[in-house]
Order: sequence, then structure tokens, then C-alpha cells
Amino acid sequence: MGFTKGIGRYLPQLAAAAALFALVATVVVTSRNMPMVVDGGSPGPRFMPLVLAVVLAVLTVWYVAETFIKKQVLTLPRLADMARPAAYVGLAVLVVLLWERLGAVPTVLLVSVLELKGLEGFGWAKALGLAVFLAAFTWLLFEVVLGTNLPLGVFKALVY
Amino acid sequence: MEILQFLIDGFAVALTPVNLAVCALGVVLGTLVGALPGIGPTGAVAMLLAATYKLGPTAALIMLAGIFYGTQYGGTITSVLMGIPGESASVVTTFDGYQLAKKGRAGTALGIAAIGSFVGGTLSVMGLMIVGPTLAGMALLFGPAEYFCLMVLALSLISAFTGKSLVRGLIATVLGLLLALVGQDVMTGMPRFTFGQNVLLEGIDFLPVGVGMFGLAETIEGFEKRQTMQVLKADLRWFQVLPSRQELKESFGAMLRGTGVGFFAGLLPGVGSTIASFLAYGVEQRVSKNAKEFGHGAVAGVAAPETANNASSGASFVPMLSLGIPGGATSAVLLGAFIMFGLQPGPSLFRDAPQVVWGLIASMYIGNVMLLVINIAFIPVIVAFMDRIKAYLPLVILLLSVFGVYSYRNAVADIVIMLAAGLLGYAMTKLEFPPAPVILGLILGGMLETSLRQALELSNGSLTIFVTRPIAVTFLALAAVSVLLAARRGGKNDGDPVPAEGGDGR
Repeated sequence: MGFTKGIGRYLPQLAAAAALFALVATVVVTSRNMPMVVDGGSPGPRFMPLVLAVVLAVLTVWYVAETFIKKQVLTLPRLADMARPAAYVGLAVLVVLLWERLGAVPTVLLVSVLELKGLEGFGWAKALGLAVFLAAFTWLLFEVVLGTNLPLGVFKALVY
Repeated sequence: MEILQFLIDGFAVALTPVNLAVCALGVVLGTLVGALPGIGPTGAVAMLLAATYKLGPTAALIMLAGIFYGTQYGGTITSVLMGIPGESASVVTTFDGYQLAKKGRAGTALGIAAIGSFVGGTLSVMGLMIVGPTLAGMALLFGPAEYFCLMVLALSLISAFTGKSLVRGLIATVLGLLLALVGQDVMTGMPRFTFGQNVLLEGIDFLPVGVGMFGLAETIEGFEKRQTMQVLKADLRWFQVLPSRQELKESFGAMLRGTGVGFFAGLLPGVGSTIASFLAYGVEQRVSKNAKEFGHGAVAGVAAPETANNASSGASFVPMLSLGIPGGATSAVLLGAFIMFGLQPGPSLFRDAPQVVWGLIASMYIGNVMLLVINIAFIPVIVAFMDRIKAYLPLVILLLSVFGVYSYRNAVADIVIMLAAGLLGYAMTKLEFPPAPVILGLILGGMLETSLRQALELSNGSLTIFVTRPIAVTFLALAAVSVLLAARRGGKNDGDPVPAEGGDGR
């Protein structure tokens, strides 16, 4: 129990080390069909990945050892403190999902309203007004001035 | 004399209306970015990089460089008025600048900082002008072995002097190098780590990773920390900000010493503006006759670090332009900007694209003058603007990030990569891994591998090529020394964080 509790203090670092070892394994396994050496004896496409995988494995062992030797305990944020960051990330995910389906301008409108109303706590009028301003401004800047072809999304049917 | 002629030609390029306008826009944006906690220069440069593409290489690089050195000026504002560093290189300024503001001398602190920044920035550009072409000429002697060892040195320095521990810096570097492997192998064309996704055949670009790790990640952290901005009330009209003759006399020596420390620190990849400012503060405290005043409102305690951080940002252009080696995360993104425009920083850049290089150098003189005027005369405007915009910053950053990244290749995959990089950057910060080496590894990884394979091909697979060539072995020895020094530092000072260039503590 005490041993588990002791190791439990280093859970974040152990999880990070596990992820790094998983990465090492992925690199080694997925590169197994690549040649190590090519014509003329020069290093092939597998050479650098394997070198880096070995280096990473050694560094990960060093990292775990350092954690235990120096007793480095990390203070992670409480779950309650993660609600707003998680909501912000959720908005970013929403942008990815809607960007080409809905179109750039409607996506900006929707995400802006959600962020300003939901996260910053503005009233509906202010949130909607700012959202319209931001949607128009970003469209003007990127589509008109900079010539980026922003996705039309739902407006594609109107244009074509 | 030849250098003078190049500089005159550079001014002819920099003084065109378009380039003057983008320089002004860049330094103003840089000042605002530096002043606002929540977004650092690396994120800002990365976000705006794609948007500036249509301007052409000279104008775009002038603007992006303006943002870079402009942040060194802007970071002072929040350090002095709020005790919160606007970006990592302004941490030291809070020690004495905020104390001066609490004593009713905010104007003095800001004025001395602006003048010190101007002195450091301008003198470092002169240094860049002299050292840059000389170093570029020497680098023409480099072969693949020398380049490989030089990149190993750069990555070692970054890993060694960034973040809380050497091993975490090295792991971050290797992560960046692994990301650089994704895509088609340069020499054989074989796809690597694409997992059947065509979109990954072109590799993972540094832009979405940079925007995600330094723009989004900082904003996510800002939400978690709920940092509030309370500005000290002060009379900041321009005549209150101009220092007195006595104050200038007190800070003159500090400014010169700060320039020297900052310039040499900036030449070394990995050291950056933040370490330069700490070093300059330490030096000044040692030589000062009034050392006890430091930490309680010493004018020299503001002058030295502010001069040093600007001198360092100017000096960081030396290895970037002449060797193609970035000094830190922001100059790594700027290096990426050069590559985006089809320019290869390195010894041939001064020869192949002199208008771009000397136009950029000349614009830095102009930009420093603009920044001096802005930071003396327009502080009240900047403070009022900061107060207004802080509530909208997370949304603006999200939108700029998405639009900026999408503008580059019109690929939703880049937005996905940016989001993933943002989450990775946030996780890395929580686990106390520095993100700067990741972006450096990503940018240098391709060149590192190519140089290594070319060198081994030349030597028929023998590793002795790296120890028999004098320049190569010198770089390797320096890399080993930097790693050993960092390991020793880690043993003595358990986990003292060394903030990296590019934003709050990164």
C-alpha cells in the first residue's frame, strides 16, 4: 500500500514514460520493412528512425530514473480547473468538424458566439454583435485582402 | 566599405512605402504581443506567417522580424505596470521595474527600458552587419560532416539550456526529430510513418506545429490559470516617460554592458533573450556600487536586462542568416519563413538574395527607431488597448490560428495537426518538458538526416569523418561540453527553470 502510494506520486511521469516507450515501439515496428542500407552501402530510410528510437529509449530510462532519484513530484491542475480549458479545446474541435461542412464564415459565427457567451460570459447582444464583426472581418481579411480560398460549406450550392 | 554599400542598398529596399508600412505594422503588433500575456512571439510569428505569404519574401520577413524584436519592447509594459512579464525575456524587468512603478516612477522605468531597448537593438544590428557576412564566408568551407555537427551543437545547446532538466530537453528534441521523419524519404522517396494517409506524404510542416504549441497551448494554459490583468495607474504621458539626465547617467554603463552580454548570448543557439536578460542583471548587480538597491527599484536593474534582451534578439539573426541555424523557437519559425519563400538561410543567402538580407537588416534599424517613438509617446494608447482587448484574446488567437494555418495549404489536416500540437504542447508544459526543442528538431531534422547520410556516403559508412575533420570535431566537442555543463547544472540546482525564448517560460 505504501509502495503503491509512493509510486502513485509519480503517475504523470510514469504515464509520460509509457507513452514514450510506446512511441519507440511504434517507430521500430512500423519501420521494420524499410531498408537499413541502400545501394552503395549508404544509410537507408530506416537508419535515422532506428537511431532516434534507441536514443529515445535510453533517454526515457534516464527520465524515469531522474524522477525517482530526485523525487520530482508534479502538481497537476485540479479537475475543476480544467473545465474552461476543456471547453476551449472543444471549440477548437468544433472548428475542425464544421470548417468544410458548414463553411468558414458560419463556423466563425457559431464558435465566436459560443466562446463569448459561454466562456467569457458576455450578454447575447454583445456576443452576437462581436461574432458578426469577427466573421465579417476575418472573411474580408483572408478571402478578399489575402486571397485565401475559404471553404464555402453550405453556401456552395448558392455559388455553384 | 563593401558592407556600407550593401547597407545603403538595403535602406533603398527598406524605405519603400510598402516595406515601411509592414515594418511599422510588425513592430506595433510585436509591441502588443509582447505586452499581452497569453501569446508569445513564436505563436504570433507562426500565426501570421501564412497570412504574410502574399506580401512577398522581403516585406513578409520585415514584418515578421518586426514582430520578433518588437515583443522585447512590449514585454516591458506589463512587467512594469502589472508585475506580470508579457513574455519570458521580461521576467527580470519585473524585479525592479514593478518596484519603481509602485514608487510612482513607472514613467522612468518605461522610458529607461525603451531607450535601453533601442541602444541594445541598434548596436546588435550593427554587430549583425559585421559578423553575419564574415561567418557566412567561413561557412562556405563546411561540408555535410560540418553541417551535421553544427546542427548537433545547435540542438544540444537548445536542449541543454532550455527548461528544467537536460533529459527533458533532449527528449523534446528527439520528438521534434521524429516528427521531421514523417513523409517521403528525401533520398529514396519511400513513405515513412504516413500510416496510409496521403496528406502526410508531404510531411508535417512546422507552421501548424508552431502555431499549436506556442499559440493554442499558451491560451489553453491561460484558461487554466485564469490570469487577471490589473494595471497600476500611472501618468504615462511622453514627458513623464522621458528619463532625466541623472537617470540616463545611472543607466549608461548598464546599457553598454547589457548590449555586450546580450549580443554574445544571442549568438549562441539555445541561450536566447531570456537567459541574456538574467545574465545581464547578474553582471550589473555584481559591478554596481549600489547592489543593495537591486530588487527594490534600481534603474540599472531595468536598463541592463532590457538592453540585453533586445541585443540578444538582434544577435540571434547572425547564426540564422549566416549558418541557417536558428537560435531559438521564434528564429526557428523565421527560418521556416525563409524556406517557405524558397530561400535557404546559410552562407549562400548573402550572395543569392542580398536585397532580402540587407533590406531586412536596414529595416531593423528603422524598426528600432519606430519602437523607441512608440514606446515613449504612445504608452497610454497601448495600455488602454491592452485593457480593452484582454477579454477577446483567446477567441482572436483561436481564429487567427485557424485562418493562418488554413491559408498556408488550404488543408483541414493542418488545422488537425495544429490542434494536436496544441494539446501536446499543453501536456508537455504540465509535465515540465520544454516545447522549443520540438520545433527546432522538426525544422532541423530533415537537414540533419540529409547531412548525416551524405557524410556517411562520402566516408563509405565510416564514422571517423566526424572526428577527423577539425571544424566538425570542434562542434561535436562543444556539443559535448554544453551537455556536460547542463548535466552539472541539473545536479547542483535541482529543477531551477530556465525559461526558453518564445513566450511565458517557453
